Amino acid sequence: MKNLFKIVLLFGGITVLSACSDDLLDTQPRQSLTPEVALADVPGYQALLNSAYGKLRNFSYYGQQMIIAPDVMADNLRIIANTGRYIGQESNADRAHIGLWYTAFWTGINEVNVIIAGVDAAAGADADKAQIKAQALFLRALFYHDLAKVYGYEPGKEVGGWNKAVILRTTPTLGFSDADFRERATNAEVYTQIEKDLQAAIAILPVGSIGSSGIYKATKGAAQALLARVYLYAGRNSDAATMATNAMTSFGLTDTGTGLLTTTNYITAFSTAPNPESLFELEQRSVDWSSVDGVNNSVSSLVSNVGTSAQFILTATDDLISKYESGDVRRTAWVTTTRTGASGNVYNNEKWKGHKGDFLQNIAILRGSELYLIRAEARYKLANEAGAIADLNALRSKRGLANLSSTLTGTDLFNKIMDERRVEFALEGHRWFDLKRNGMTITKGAGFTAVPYTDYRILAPIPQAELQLNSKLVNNPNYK
Amino acid sequence: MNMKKNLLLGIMLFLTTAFAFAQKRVVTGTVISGDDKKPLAGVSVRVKGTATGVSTNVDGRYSIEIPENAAALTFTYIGFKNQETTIAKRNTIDVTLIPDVQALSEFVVTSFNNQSKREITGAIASVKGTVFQDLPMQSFDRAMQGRVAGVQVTSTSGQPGGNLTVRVRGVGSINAGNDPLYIVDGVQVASGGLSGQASQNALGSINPNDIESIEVLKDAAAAAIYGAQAANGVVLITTKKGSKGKSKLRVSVQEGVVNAINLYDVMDSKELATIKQAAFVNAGLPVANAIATYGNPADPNLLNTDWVDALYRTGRLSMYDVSLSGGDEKTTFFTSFSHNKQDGQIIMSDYARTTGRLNVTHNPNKKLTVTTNLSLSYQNSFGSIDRGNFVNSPFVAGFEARRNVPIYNADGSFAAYPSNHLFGYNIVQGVNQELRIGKTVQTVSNLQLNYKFTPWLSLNSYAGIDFSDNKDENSRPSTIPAFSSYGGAATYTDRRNTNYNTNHNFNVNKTFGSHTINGILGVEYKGAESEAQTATGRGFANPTLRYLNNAATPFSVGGSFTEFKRAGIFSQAKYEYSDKYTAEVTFRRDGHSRFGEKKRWGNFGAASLGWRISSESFMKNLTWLDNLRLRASYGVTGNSDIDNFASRNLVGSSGQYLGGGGLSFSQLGNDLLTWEEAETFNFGLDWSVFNGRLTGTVDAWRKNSKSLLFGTPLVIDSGFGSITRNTGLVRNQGIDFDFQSVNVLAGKFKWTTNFNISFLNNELMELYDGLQRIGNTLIVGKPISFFYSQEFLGVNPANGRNMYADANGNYTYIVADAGLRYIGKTIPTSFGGFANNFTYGPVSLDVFFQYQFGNLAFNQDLYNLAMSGATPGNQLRSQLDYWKQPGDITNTARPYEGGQEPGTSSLQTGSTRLISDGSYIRLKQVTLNYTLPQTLMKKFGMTQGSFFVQGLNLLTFTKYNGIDPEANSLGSTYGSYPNARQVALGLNLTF
Repeated sequence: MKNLFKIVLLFGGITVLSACSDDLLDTQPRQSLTPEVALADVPGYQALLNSAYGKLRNFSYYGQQMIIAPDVMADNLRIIANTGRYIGQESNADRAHIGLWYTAFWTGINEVNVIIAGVDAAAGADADKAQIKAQALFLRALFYHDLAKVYGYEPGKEVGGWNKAVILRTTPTLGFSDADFRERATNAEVYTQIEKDLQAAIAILPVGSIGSSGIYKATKGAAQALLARVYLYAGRNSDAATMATNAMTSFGLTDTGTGLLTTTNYITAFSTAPNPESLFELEQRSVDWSSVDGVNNSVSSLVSNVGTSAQFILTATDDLISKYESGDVRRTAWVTTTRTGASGNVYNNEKWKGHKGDFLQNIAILRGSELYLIRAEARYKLANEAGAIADLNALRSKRGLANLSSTLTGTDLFNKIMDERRVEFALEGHRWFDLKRNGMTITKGAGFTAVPYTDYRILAPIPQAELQLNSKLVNNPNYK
Repeated sequence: MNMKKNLLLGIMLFLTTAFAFAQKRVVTGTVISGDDKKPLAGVSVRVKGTATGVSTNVDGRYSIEIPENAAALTFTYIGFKNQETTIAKRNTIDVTLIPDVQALSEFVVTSFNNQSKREITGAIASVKGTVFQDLPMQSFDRAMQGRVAGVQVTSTSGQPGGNLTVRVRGVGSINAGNDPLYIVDGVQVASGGLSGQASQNALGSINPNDIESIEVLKDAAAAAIYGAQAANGVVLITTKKGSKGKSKLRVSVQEGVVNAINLYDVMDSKELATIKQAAFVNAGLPVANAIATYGNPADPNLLNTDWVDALYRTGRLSMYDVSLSGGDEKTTFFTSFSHNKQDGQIIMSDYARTTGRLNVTHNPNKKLTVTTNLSLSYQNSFGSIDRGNFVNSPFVAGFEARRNVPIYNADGSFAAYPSNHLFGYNIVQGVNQELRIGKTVQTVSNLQLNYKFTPWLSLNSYAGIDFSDNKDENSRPSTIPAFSSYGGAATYTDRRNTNYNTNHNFNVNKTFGSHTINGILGVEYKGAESEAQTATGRGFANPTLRYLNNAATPFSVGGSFTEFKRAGIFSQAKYEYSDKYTAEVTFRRDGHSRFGEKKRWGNFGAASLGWRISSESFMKNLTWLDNLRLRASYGVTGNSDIDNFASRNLVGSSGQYLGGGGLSFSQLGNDLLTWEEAETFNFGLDWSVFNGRLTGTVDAWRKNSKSLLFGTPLVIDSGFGSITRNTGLVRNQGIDFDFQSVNVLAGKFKWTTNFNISFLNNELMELYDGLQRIGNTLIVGKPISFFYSQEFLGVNPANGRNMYADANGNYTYIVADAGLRYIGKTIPTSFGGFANNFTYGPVSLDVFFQYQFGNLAFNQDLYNLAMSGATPGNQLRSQLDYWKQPGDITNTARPYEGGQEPGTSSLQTGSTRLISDGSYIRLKQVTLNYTLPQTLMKKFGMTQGSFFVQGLNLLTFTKYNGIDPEANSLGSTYGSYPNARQVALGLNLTF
């Protein structure tokens, strides 16, 4: 018994003594790292870049919303099954818009800001660091351009002089004091930053080959293509045409359209990874999704009847179908089918077949044909109608269509450019923005009313929680 | 050994001496209860002024040898008044003991020692195990519901064995945990859920029938000795111990049924087809489309499948419980075994638990006491998707499924559900074929050594562990169309939680005349570690194969690890003068690994005073007053219930790109993060009058929770949603009333009442940086949980559109953010319980109501079910009252397919239309008990025996617009698993 007593005293004594030491309280978050450890070297920054690329696949971004919403908010898609999704967007209801102002989106911006600010000081080869930084610059430009086109008017296209775009952050948030309240920058300021980032990226990024696995990452040509798009949005038509030409050169696309998809592989290209016409494509793997994301959230499940469990809630409007000329290979992207409870013409979409299994496929964010359409539109706006027609014909020749009449001119030509864009990018998330940046009325199908360009619903609302938190933040006009 | 021999010799000498000088004789008799006139076993019978004593036997009989000169016998028995009877010349002395309803000297388990309830200065409430013995409840937290003033227990899931939410004196913390600290026989156990597949209560590993008592430490004076984590109150659970004497075997068996308390009344297929036609017509869509999907209401053969009936059932509940206790001079023990199986009201959903326990106390010598409490339990739950708007939840899809669609094909196989609704998921097939199994083995065990240096000084050394090992299985077979594209999937998760604590403390207890001093000085150390691994496989060659080795594709893996450590030093000193004045001081210093390196340690403490007014001489004349005591306390306790690494900057995994792992900033750290504090004031009054016929306690309290561990929002354009800081102040204040009375005590009839009610006020006092509100979720001057919504003004009789109040109170069809307004709070204003016991001879009836008032509840199910036929699923029958023509006065809008009529906000706009009064009164328990006749019990050698029938959740009185106001009083309310009604027959026998 005396021994037991001694043991008790000893045990107690040790605890008393050791309780006073902080070592007793040491713990390690073994599944996470500290920033100091994580970002000591190039592999750490590469991992941060991987995370930033991954932000593109969010279902609120290119994973779904940025593909579907611009088409259903405009005149390309209609709802054929009422699951509650996109019902508000179809009728352009108040606040039913595109929402990119969510935490994960801004986390992506912070990730690229951390890379851009810090990678130069990390341990590793300079060449590797430069490549990582250039890709981060490309992503930052893409993120900001998407924000700017959703929340603000394009420079020069302001309604009532409203020129606010989004909050512009180009330095990382590494501590509490960095998370300061800011005002929305003007559209011009944001576009200036985007141009600067892309120019810097173009100078460093390697040349990639169209439709190769190299375009799963940012390349020089992809940055040029994005910049051409940005110039077109900004109304800098001459720069847009030049930059489109530069991008075509980078990817080896000729003025006659050589290098584009042809009538034989246009449809299959969307079920090929990578798409042979991709300039920048988001690669996706099954591990990126939870076991129900395919059926719940994929574009494929929403627009096709592939598999028995697809939701198949959206199809092409008759108006869209009417824009396809006879012989256009792109028309075959819509296959007539039926849907219980849906009247009218119902089409299954062939671009989004989830060929990787369980509704999974890659997402082409920039395709070669866009360069021809950018240049055609820019040339038209520069009064180079012949050049515009030449670019349209180069694309049309690869889509099974005859050359346009050289007499096509003025508004007719412009409308042709818009129609060509519409059929080329149906279900690729362009339509709303193409109408908006040209200051055009959003036309709608039967049962819905058109949205004039001057209507407040052209711009998306800023989340109310952010407005309440940040007194410097103002909402877009007429959101009450 | 030598000492022992000497002692024995001494005793023998003494006895011999006694024989030599005293004449003795024998007195016999029977002791019965004045209550029911039944014999009392175990009554202590002593010769007054001596140590000589015996106990009565099962028949209440005793036989005692007394010295010739003995004057009187004393009879003592717990729960009865002591009685003294003069012997005179009698040889037979029969006694009737009078019940002592006052029971003031009852012992209450406090922190590191036991105290008489009479001397406690803090606010402590106690529930004895006998109150909830044999109730068909799987965890003790459920047993506390409505029984303790100031403690709100909410059963948020009807899953048998599921979790509960327990709040002691309001909700003080905005982001940190609000759960009390649970301590089972000294082991600080983790509360919450164990499984990811079913709500499985971590406290369910303790068989409620093994519990002797539950004490809830409500104020700082009572809880401060637990410093860390005590801010939310402390719940102490003490399991049963054996007592020396004849071994007691107790057997309890119970069988019963479980069914739904309430269901939604949904339309039949004809009614739905009718409203859908109206919706299609109004939206300008072809009627043929409505008919194609919903059928033709004119069709007399329209299928009318009863999905609800196929999913709900009357389940079975069984409880088997055996315990054995006893002991001798040196060792006492209590051991038990129980098995409990309960079906849910939903098919497949069930719960089974097996527990075993061994509690042993051994005294190797007079100074040392060794105690160990060992428990082992196995819980096996089959879950159901509970909460959330999920197509595979029977609580969502069961009501929503269209009744013109069949469950089965003609050949008996499951029919495919139309793909344009519920993702084509046939809910009856899904519930039958998806496996959601959670199995957990858990032990809560401890070892304790107590060494008495002197009668007034002892050392206590304690170590306890709470260990659980959970295995979850989720199988989604390929027979279900949604999972067929990849050949089905199976996910297995293993979780292991280790949670230990040890403390070592000196206890002093000494009385000098009228002065009594108590003291505690000790140290404590606690650590907890949780690990989990999960793996998913896909592609099973046959749907009956479900293990990962059968999977064609090893699909994904996951895992997690987390830990914390805590250390503390504590002390307590108490002084009492003459049972009149009591003063107590507690101090504690704690360090926690969760906080910033320089801010880990915090100091906590409390001081309290007690004054027994009734012992003052000026009160002596008030003979009707048994006891009147005033208590006052003030103290500060801590809360550390946040993520284990909340103070650190963290970079965590973030998916992959092109096969390369991603890293992302997962958390913005704060190295100044430290303890959240709760400052508590308590004034209490204990009183008892008319010889204990009426007793009560009133506590008025205020708790200021400050330096909150607050996830303060950051502007999300920073890339982060929030950062945890110590800021903000929340004030809870209230009054707890607890009242017991013996209303009638007449012959064989007795009626007693226990009543408690708490009034609670919760208010956010401060945020930070002068901020007055955070979005629409926190507003200074309001409670910390409320509804902020649009105000529904009804349907415009002119056009059938929903009208809402705009910012100026005028009606509008299109809601604006400016129209959002404060609607009301989710925290009740008052809550409590009301228990009555009626006894007549061998029959007793318990009737127990539990209630809460003053909270609003939001029924999200109405988003699906009450949308004027705008949604694709079935609707509540009440929606048939929809607007049909100008002039119709109704609250159900004009149907419009999709609900998005141009020029209006969507029919699915959140508004007060979906919010209703969440107050309720629930007949929680009725037990009718029949005590078996003495003659019968004697025949079988029993000391106690009874037969009972009881029911839980029998009736609910509420204005709530959903199924269960209790389950839906917290959190998201889509498809919550409602509580069930249970009715059972049982028998308990003690040998």
